[in-house]
Amino acid sequence: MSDLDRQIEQLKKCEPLKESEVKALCLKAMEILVEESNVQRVDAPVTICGDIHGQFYDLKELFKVGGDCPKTNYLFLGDFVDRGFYSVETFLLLLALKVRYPDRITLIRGNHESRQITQVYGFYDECLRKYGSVNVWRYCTDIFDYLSLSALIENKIFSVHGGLSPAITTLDQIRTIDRKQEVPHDGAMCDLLWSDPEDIVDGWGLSPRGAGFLFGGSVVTSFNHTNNIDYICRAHQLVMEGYKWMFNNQIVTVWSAPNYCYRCGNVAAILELDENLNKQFRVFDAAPQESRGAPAKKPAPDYFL
Amino acid sequence: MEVEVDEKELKAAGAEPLPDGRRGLRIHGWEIETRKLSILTSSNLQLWEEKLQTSHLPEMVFGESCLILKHVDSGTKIHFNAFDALTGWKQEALRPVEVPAAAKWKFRSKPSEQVILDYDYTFTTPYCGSETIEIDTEKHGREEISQGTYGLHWDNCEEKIDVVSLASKEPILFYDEVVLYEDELADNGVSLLTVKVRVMPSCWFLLLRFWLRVDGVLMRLRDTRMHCVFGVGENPIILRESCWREATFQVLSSVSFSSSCMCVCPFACCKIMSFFDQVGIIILLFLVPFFRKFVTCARLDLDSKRCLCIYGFYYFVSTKMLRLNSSKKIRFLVISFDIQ
Repeated sequence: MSDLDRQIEQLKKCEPLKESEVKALCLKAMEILVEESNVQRVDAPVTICGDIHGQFYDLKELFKVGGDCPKTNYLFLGDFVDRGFYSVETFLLLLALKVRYPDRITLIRGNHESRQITQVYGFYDECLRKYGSVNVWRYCTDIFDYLSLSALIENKIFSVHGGLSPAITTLDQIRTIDRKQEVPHDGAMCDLLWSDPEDIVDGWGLSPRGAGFLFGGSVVTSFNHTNNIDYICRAHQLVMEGYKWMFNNQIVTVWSAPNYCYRCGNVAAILELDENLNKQFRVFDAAPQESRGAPAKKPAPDYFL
Repeated sequence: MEVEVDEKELKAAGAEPLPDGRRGLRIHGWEIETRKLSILTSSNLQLWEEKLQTSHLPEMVFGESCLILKHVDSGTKIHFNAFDALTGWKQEALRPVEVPAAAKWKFRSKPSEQVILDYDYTFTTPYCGSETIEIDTEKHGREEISQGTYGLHWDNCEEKIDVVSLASKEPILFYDEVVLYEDELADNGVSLLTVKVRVMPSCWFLLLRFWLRVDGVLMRLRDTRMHCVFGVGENPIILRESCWREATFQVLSSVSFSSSCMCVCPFACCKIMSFFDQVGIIILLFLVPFFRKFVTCARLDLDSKRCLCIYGFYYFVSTKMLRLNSSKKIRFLVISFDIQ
């Protein structure tokens, strides 16, 4: 058994790797990811997954429902880390699978794959807690910069974490972005990872926060037409039912973190496409409590004031 | 969040758990219950949007979750739910705050036509609970129903919640925390409305907390506490204290304690609230009033709401009282209250 196979087995038990192993794994992953296009080509059949957010045991549930990698070809739409308790194990498992089976799993970047966001939403703290230093966080965030920005399945289905950008009309414009950097605060790369479809606007909308685009149905129609694609598959937004079509089936949101933040009670979904691009959504629940390793401790009553 | 309580302890306090697996208990004529359910489904969310006449609601609305405290004899029900809280948000309709990236966005090239949305995406609410009277027809007869059409209202008072007695470690017979709604502000911070309750042999106490952190911009805390001591006189009295605090990151960084407190959070994400947020709340709760001591001269009365506005710290306290009558008529006492 190779070192890598042993590491995958270890990670599947939710046991993190040693710091030196993480460093070596990240170096190997970098060599693979650097060769990938900003619009990475993916062949069908493929199973598309949305946000995971460090919910390791629910990711294992996902593999139970969708089949193991490499038997099933996977495309993950980003947001592997933050919020959940096991961002380290989740990201390292996906990365180890990527290094072991580069043609059977595609990882693209979500807005949480960023130095700034992970410092606020948990991944940074988790690395510090589990390793006693931020080195692992540094190795991982350096890898984030190499992750592709989008994927194109059989030239027909465009996949991205967030959505569209007013600076982008053709896929070739995405191909020219220099992605090897921290996610910027504005511009095309930022929009691809952050923007959301919105029912109440037809064209473009600006969020009340003063930053962040919203795009309506006509924007999607013209993008799909220009690039000759059937529909867009994206993640980024929580959907109680696991997936949600919008704008007359021109865009679908896929969400793969069941019982998000361990309290929302939502189901999760993955989208399976066969070799003819026929769709099947697989909806699944959070992993049962008894399969989560250590039982949840009942917290002591809080003498709050 | 449930806690298993010794049956003996409940019995000794004259309390009994609610039947049929409901969370909560009956104690001294009160029925105290929490319900914790999933976030709203897409179709229910749409229904709420129509009812509230809005096209935007928090990402996670725990629409069926609630805390209910019912005084059985008077039929008075104090309850906490997301719908009423969001009704308050819709009415207050604060102007949206811009995130730091907005400054840069003003200079970026824009699509030829764009709609600028301007609802309050922080879901800030003045909500401090709901109260209704449910008259049991069999017990009180028809006459009382018509007499009982008083709306309950809270009166200003001089009394304060007895924090010292609440700090004593008497056993907690029931404890729970219910999230009413939550939004991640598209990863620009957090907006969270929760209510916590604890019931002891001598009293019940609750804290409704709206917590907002817009990263790099501001923190806002709106707390409502209620306290009811059992068995004091015939009619229960509930004290309610509301406290609003708010500070911008700019102000906090200028007084230089924020950066050191806010940088490292070694055990975030362990409870509903991250350590990051807990530190923020501590800053607002303890450090902001501390600064107030030095600037008492900067007192301002805003909208006769008895607010203090100090160098960007916004601080507002009011105490109110609800007196319940367990006999047929419901009376209220009016006591005025003024902060020093």
